Amino acid sequence: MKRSSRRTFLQALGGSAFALPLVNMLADSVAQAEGENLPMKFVGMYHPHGVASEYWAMRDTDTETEFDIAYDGCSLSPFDDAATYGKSFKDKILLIEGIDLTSRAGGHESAGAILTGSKISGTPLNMSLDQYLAFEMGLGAETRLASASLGVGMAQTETGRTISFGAGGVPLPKIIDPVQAFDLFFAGFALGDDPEAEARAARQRALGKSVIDLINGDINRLNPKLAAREKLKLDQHLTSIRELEKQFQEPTLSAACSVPVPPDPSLFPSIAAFNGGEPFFPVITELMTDMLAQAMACDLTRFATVFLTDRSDSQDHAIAHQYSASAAGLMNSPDAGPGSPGSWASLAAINLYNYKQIARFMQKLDEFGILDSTLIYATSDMGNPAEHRTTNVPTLLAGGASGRFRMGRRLRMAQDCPDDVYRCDPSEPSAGGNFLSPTPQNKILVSIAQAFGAEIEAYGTQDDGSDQGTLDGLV
Amino acid sequence: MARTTMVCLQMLRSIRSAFILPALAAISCSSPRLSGEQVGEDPGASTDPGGLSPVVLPGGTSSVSLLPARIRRLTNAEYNRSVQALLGTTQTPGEGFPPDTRQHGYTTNEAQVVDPVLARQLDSAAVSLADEAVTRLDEVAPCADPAAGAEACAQAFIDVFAPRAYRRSITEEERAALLALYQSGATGGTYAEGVHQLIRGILQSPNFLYLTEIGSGEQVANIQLAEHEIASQLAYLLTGGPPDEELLASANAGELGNADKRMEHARRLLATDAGKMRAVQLVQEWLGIDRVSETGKDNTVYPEYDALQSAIEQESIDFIQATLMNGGNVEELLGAPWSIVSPELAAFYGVAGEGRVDLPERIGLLNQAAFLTVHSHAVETGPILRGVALMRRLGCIEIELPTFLNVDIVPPAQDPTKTTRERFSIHSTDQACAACHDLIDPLGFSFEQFNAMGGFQSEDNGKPVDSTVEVALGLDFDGPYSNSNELAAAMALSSEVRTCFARQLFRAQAAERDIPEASEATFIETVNAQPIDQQKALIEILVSFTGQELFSYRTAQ
Repeated sequence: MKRSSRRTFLQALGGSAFALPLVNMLADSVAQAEGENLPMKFVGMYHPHGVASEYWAMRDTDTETEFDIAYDGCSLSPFDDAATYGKSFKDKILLIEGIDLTSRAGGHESAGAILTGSKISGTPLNMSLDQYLAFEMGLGAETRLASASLGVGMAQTETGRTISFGAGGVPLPKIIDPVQAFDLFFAGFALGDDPEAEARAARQRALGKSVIDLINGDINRLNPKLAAREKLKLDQHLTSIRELEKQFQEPTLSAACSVPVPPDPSLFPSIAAFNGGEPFFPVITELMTDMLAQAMACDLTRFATVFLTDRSDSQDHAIAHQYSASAAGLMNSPDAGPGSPGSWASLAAINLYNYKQIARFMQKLDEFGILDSTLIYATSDMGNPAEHRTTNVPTLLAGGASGRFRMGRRLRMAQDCPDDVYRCDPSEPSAGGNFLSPTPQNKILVSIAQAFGAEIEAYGTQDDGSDQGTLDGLV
Repeated sequence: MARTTMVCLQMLRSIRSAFILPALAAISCSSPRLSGEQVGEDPGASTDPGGLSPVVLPGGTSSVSLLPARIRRLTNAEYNRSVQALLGTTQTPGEGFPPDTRQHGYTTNEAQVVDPVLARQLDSAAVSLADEAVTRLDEVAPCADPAAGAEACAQAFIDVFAPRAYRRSITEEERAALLALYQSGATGGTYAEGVHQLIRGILQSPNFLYLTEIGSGEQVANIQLAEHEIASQLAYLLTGGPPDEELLASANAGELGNADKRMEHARRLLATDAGKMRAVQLVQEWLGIDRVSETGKDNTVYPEYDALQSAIEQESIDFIQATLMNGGNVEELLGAPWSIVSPELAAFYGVAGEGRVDLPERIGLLNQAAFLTVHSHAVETGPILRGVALMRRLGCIEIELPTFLNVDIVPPAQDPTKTTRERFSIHSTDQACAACHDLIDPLGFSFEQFNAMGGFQSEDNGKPVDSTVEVALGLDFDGPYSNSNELAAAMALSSEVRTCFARQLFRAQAAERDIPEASEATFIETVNAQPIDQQKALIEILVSFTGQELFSYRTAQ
């Protein structure tokens, strides 16, 4: 196997498991030089508050392939900032305007629609794309973790506070504690070549497996006494136990993969939103995305979601609520309109904060040599936050996507609801003009699923067919 | 869309005129066909699942009323109480678990599963609890001679610990599996390591994590719960923790099939500290006010919120506790012109003193800061959130989300020249929205004299606030009110709110998403057959439930 040659190379280098990212960079450059196809990875990312389109949308001078995102105040500038992030990622992003979330619900609840493509009825009605790829398609079966859900600040699993959902739209929890995230990915790896440590680790794995045996046995003994619905609960439990069991298997890629230093909890004395965690969100976000990049480089998981949060109990809410859009900043509207430039810059600064986190994540993936085989889909639950609009959400595809999508571009979908229309009713396209041609995020989900090899033509739960079809222009 | 307006009102009226509100019938403002398909249940599904005919139990309850035989995972709080009772630990690992899934707002429910994240955390928690336990090995799993008699000691430990953890006696097969688990630790290790493995495994066993309500496991129309299952139901539903010695003794003596005995235990359990805290939790979850700690405010608009957050939560806990002296009477919960406040909260409320103070301008739980804070946005009041909470939680009127209007839901844009009420009034100008919002909004607007963290506000965006409303739900508290205090006082005396309170307590205890309509009807009939004072009292309603056959019987799904 090609993978073994990478290990051989590392052993030849004499690199210990604690060796540096440099080792990985070498390893992956070797892997790529050999033409090894790295498995494709998917990361769904959420950021709050919508977007100040004045500092985000395409400008008059921009074209699909020639565009400026480095101008003063542009919230997308981290993607073209080689001084900070080592290189420009302009050729690794694909920005799409005019995508509408088909939640049929309010702005905040629409986070649940992003990866499910489902209308929201309390919860979405089907599983999210990360879970579909990892479990339904089985692409996560080989890795230590089929998928991982990380978050910053918000442990809650209400529809608006998570983007990962299991079968039937059951919200999945996310990990917000960096220490837990470290354990999730890296616990159980023997450190170094110490035979005693290796023996201890082997013993721990055996003990863990015995516990698994008991749980499995007890589940199987209980199962026959139960009705079908109850058996489903135990089926879910068994699936979870199979995931847990992977923790007790010998980590096979330890030689090619460096275990990072565990996070220092003194860096984040509080982690929860509304409970003192806000000042530590930047460091928590960096730790989380660093560990995720490392875990993906180690091929411990290929599917993840990251729920970003900013200072959401402080002034950010006020800024988002007071955002006053100009017509000029809205898609396909060249004329200057009402709105307050002061609010555009404040909201753009918040957007900038979140895009910095994503750019930094891309930088890490790139250093590990896996950016080209990763696809990031990052968006928000709303477009214009003052109105909590679920139309025109800021849509970013990033990474090399294993060449499946053509990156380095900006796309604009057709205009749909004008901003001064209070309620945009798809069943009455004639009301107020020919403005309705929504481009649902479902099409992105179908395109991504196909990029991962799924033979599907629809994704999500919609009544009006908006879950059908791919998004033109991606491939 | 015009048709929807009338549909909503007609449906509401027709449902109102029925003897009781269907348990989960949704009032659909847009698409009535969905009410049966989406949230109601197929009447056939729960009454006649496997060709079973309805059976009438000795007490007169028909099997069609019974809740389904099922398993239910412990909530995070129940997990904590359970491991504390088992191991004498003070650890609270459940606080770090993913938050409980909720049904009808209640954490106690059958929808909780073990997902991959929780599975890992359960293992970590079990390891940490076992680590602590084996430091007290002499107390937890004493063994006089571990060198020679370790296995005998392990067997003795299994025979004591596993039945307590599983809340029932264990089978030979289970005993053998546990012995094998012990050996996995003790072989090549020590007695302590074997015990460590046992604790780690038992705390992750489905027998510990799920409460069973399956009786003998037979699929028949009426299934009597086993004595140990009834003991667990009583203990977890009424105290949030495992059965105590007295309950176990009753179960072992086979007494819990007897309704009087169950009610006697219920009354006893509800008088304990744990029982009182469970009652507080029920009221909190009923109104959603257990979520103060998860509720944030924009600190540029409400700079005083962070410092008062815990005082706001504590007020409702102390107030509810105090009402339990009178049985947790809904009239007092909603209508008391007093509360129990910290000095800081008293200052915020603008009253002198602390502890129990008169608050004639804050009638009952609805006008206390916790309810007002949770049902608000971060920067402004939430008239819709407040109104919907009143409709659903106190009126027992299920209104659908606007999801099925199939429109983009856009809240009214910020406008510095308008009050929140003026902005939200746009609902009544749009026919599709007005169908439901004409019902919801007056309830919510009545609270406009309270800001998003429950402080008084006389102005909103520089204009005087308007809390006058005309409630027109078709319920017995319809009418004009000058503000939410008047409204709360009327709701406190409403017989329909009283019945809804009992319904809500039943839903919290029934722990089922699609509660069979007949089940809630049976429950309410029994409650309403009691003297009026008992119909109002939380304690009496819960006790009544334990005496019903609904409590001790299940039916095949």
